[in-house]
Amino acid sequence: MEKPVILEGLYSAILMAHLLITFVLVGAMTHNLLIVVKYVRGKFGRKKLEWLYVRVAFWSYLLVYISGALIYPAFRVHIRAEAFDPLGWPTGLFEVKEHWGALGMALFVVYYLLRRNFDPEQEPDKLWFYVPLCVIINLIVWYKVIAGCYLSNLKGSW
Amino acid sequence: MKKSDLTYILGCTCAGAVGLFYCSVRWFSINLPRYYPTLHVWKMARMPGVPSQGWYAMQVFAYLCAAAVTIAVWMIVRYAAPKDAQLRPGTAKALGLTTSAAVLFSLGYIVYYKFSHWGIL
Repeated sequence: MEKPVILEGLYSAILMAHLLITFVLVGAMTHNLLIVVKYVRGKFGRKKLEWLYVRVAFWSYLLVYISGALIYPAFRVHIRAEAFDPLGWPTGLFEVKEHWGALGMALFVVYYLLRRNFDPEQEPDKLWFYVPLCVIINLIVWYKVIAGCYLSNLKGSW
Repeated sequence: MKKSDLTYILGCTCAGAVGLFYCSVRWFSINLPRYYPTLHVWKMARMPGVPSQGWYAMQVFAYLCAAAVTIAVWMIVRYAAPKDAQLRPGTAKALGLTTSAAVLFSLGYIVYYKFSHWGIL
């Protein structure tokens, strides 16, 4: 008898958790961006809130990343290989999502440590990396949300 | 050197390096282990027609290489730079913009490679 793919029995539950934590992530990261953009104009009134958003977004990204990695084998066999690979383009959309996600994890660690160790108001020179990094991470997060939801609509379970 | 300056330099190094090392797997056709979820095994060889996952090893490779470069830069800064050295505004700007460009290049390359490979472009 063929052994089942790892965690395929928990696929739906983990996928739902993956989605729900993504809501927290995208909310925190988007709000973070709205405050960070104001730093460029010299407005630093919501620094504490911004740091809170960074922490919430960092931990939720980590959970989204781990849950995504856990369900990937079942997704690879039952959805990607069976439904997406024959078409081609959905796999292209998904693979950008997965690779951007992996880079995003490393970028998020950098972002978190950077913010933890500097005060935007006292050291505005460091905004030359902090602001673009915030925009890039938002780009990654939003691509992952849109591509993920679209692909789940194409085929979300088996 | 101030902790925030050191974190900035190391953060830029790590962010730029991880993207470039990630792409280097494709540029130099580096052979990494793949996980075969239906067989429950890791193999270096590619088995045509059997679903496999190279993503896990690819990111571990990029993270470890970027960590090695970051540690090397940390050691250089720690032992070679004067203790009272400060990151100048111009250097912070150049470093930030260069790193952002490197990260965007890596993300763009991934899109180009994957979209070309899967017939979107």
